[in-house]
Amino acid sequence: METLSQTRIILSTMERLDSREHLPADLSALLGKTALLQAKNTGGFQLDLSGIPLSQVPVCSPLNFPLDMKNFKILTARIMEAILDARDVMPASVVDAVVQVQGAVEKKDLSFEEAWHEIQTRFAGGDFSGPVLKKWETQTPDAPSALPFLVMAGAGPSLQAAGRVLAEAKGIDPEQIHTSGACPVCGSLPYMLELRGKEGQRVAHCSFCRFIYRIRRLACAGCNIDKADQLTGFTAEGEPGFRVETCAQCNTYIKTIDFREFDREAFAPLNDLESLPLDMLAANHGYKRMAFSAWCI
Amino acid sequence: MDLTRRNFVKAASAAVAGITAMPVFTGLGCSTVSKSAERAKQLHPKWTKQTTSICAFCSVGCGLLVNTDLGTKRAVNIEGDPDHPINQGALCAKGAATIQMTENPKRTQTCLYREPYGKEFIPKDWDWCKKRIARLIKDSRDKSFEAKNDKGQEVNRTMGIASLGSAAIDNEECLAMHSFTRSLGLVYIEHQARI
Repeated sequence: METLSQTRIILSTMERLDSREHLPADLSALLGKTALLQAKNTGGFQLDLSGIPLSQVPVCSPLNFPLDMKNFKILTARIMEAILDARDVMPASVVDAVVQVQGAVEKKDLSFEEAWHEIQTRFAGGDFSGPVLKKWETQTPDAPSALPFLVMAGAGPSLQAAGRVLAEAKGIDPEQIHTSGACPVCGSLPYMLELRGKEGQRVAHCSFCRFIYRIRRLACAGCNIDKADQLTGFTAEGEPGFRVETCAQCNTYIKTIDFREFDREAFAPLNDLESLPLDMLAANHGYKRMAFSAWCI
Repeated sequence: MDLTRRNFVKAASAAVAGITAMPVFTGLGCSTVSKSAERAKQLHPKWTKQTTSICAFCSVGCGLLVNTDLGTKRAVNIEGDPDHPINQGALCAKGAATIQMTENPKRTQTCLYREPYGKEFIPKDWDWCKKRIARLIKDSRDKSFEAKNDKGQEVNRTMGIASLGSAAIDNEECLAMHSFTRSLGLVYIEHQARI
């Protein structure tokens, strides 16, 4: 999707976030600003896809996933600058964390490359937090996920570009129904689902490489069970356009965007925050969220 | 970590376990998520389950997705099933209105009869209606029955009655209906799915 239309959708979604009083304004500002910076950062990625055999699906584990390291570092720095520039509207805990992180990078006490490797391990199912991430969880106790947030914020556009290139190289058709809910490119679980088109095709948004792929309507995106008596869901009147889908088998939930009857376009990374009360409602009913948000928080 | 294809996907779902440590969107310590938590308490979830079904109208057999309210056990939404190979989610106007087969407050609860040249509909019970329908069929048939045609050939037919329908009945019912109408001598026997 070209930058201009992405930016337009992000801006209108940000307006909507602002109009909802119960949503944390500082968090909305942070994610909105980051989304805009990510949207501007498109094209010209240097991706090394050699050494990735295109022989299986999922194509490439997060461990071997290609990343444009230079672009990643530049974008991360840009995002941190933007957070400091707008510190009045940003979450104070994040501003503090950014100041610390910037300082550590300057003193060569922190390597974003290392942090990225630990994030890769996290998504590949290894240690949730390696030594660097663990250290920073205690360094920024008011915002323990600050470093993962910054890493995924900077890596996002490159990962998304790589995911699309890998999908095309492998011949993965995003419109063809995939029988597994996991991403056909990297194997990660989705963070949001969406119903698209008049016919209501169900698509999943990958939590790692942000690839969008089609899955079955009547199946759990996490554990793949397709027995109707295990799958339920709910909507809530105060949160139009969203449905929470639950699975009794694996006890997880995931939210589905359904804007078919509304005149608006979805932008999943922010629609996720927009429907935050639904996550709490799902948790109140004892369900666990299937995967991270697109922001690694 | 040795990631074969098989344990690769399993490992990806193991990552889910770590996330239970922190509710979503709270990792940056934004304390104002409490307002959303308050709001969540005021939301009343409407639980539904989804099942597949097949449209009952014609023999194309388009796939349907039915949303049933778990509280009232009534259907609340019926839409096309995008994963069904036959219709891929599309529905014709009749199929799209399937929910009105069961959920429609405007449906009449009784038979209504308007006399010839009458101005009003009068409610009548089924017994009365069946007798009247039978009477009219017999009278029409007797009035229009031809034992022989113009050329003198034996035809034993009635051209005064037509039968149209029905895509909503099954093969066995179709056979019964066909036997009945043919035995009366009908020639105009048509099916709505052909039209």
